[in-house]
Amino acid sequence: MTPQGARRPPFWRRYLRLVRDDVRGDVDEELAFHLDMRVERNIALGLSPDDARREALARFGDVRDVRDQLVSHDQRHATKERRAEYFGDLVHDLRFGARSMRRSPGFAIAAILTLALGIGANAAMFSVVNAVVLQPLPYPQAERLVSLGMGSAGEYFALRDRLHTLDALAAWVSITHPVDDGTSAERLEGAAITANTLSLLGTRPASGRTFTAADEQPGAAPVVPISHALWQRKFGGARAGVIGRLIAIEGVPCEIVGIMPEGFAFPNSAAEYWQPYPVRIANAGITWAVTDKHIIGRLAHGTVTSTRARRGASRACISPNAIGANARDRCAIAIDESIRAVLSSVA
Amino acid sequence: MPSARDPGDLLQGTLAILILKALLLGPAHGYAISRWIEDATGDVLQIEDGSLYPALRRLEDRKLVTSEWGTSENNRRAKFYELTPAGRRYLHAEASIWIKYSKAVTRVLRTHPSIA
Repeated sequence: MTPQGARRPPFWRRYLRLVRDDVRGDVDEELAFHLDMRVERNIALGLSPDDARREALARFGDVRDVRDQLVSHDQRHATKERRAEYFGDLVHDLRFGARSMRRSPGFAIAAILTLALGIGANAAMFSVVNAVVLQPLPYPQAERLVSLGMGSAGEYFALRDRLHTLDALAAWVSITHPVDDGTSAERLEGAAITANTLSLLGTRPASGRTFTAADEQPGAAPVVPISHALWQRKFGGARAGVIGRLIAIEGVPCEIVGIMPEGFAFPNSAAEYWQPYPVRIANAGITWAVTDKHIIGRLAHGTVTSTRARRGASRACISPNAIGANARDRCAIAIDESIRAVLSSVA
Repeated sequence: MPSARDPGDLLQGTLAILILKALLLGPAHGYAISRWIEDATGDVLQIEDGSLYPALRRLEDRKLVTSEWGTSENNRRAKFYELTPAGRRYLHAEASIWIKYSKAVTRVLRTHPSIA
């Protein structure tokens, strides 16, 4: 390439470099031409060929030294030029791309949108799959947890008593109540859960306790385990004096009996306290029939884990006479739909 | 008489100007430049032929000359050197300095008692 850059070298020049490194050869050729010309002239001036050659070399100086100087110079130069050419081509390609996009903006927009949608959909899909499928639920033996969807109190009882493929069955519902610690009050999300929910999940409190069956009994003093976040926020993470304190939930003083571990997020990370939800046949129709509750279970050990076998098991355990057809269907469907669908509603 | 066999700073600067002057006539290969310098100086400045080529590379790096492969008068592949516009400007600037300088030195040497 000319140093002025006035002309781009012909396109095939760069392929020549793939064939041979021509720096050394070019230098030799240039110097040989010079010496040959000098020898010819000396002969023309009347010297013998030997003398002509000797004179030419003497006049030239140290041929080897000059040759080495030129070769190293030209190699440096060639490297630099190749790099410049590479970036030049890159810029050229980018310009060409920009020009063609400008020429057909419709196509360009379609292509960009296609790429953007593709990438976006992939990212969205991955985050869902990652959360639902790839990341296991943070509970012991999470693969045995199943959701049976929403159900009424009647369904809950029917399933609890007759679905022997489950070790335990629990029900919960999200709640939002004003919580007053004596100095400030705010509306906080929590969950009303059957007393066995936390033990079904398998999470132990970081300190204190969760519920016992006694907490469900009528007339029992109201107790509440709180989240790690609520403990940090309301009590500054104080070690002493938190267990046993009273906070008012919906105006009812409740004793804090335990603090759940950091990261415990049931049914989601917004939940900051858990209240016992007594389930009794006596008030099933009143308390529970209003809205359906989430029903979750833990599969019994030794329960076949394949979907097909589980379906058979659930069918067998439910007598159509004992519970409504609706409950049977739900049971079959929920367990049918395998753990994936299921766990997303628990997560 | 300046000796050609010791390439000092003076010689290098001189050589650059001689080369650029040789190329003022048009593109030429190294041998032609060397022959032109010989003839033009009456072979007074006996410059080693070999020193010409590193000097040409330096001029090329400074973008004062460009080179291109071509065919010599006897049909051989030879590298031809050509003056760039920048090289032309550089030559003119350097030449006027040289002329002023040598005039001044000559005048000094001619003052009484003259030795030149």
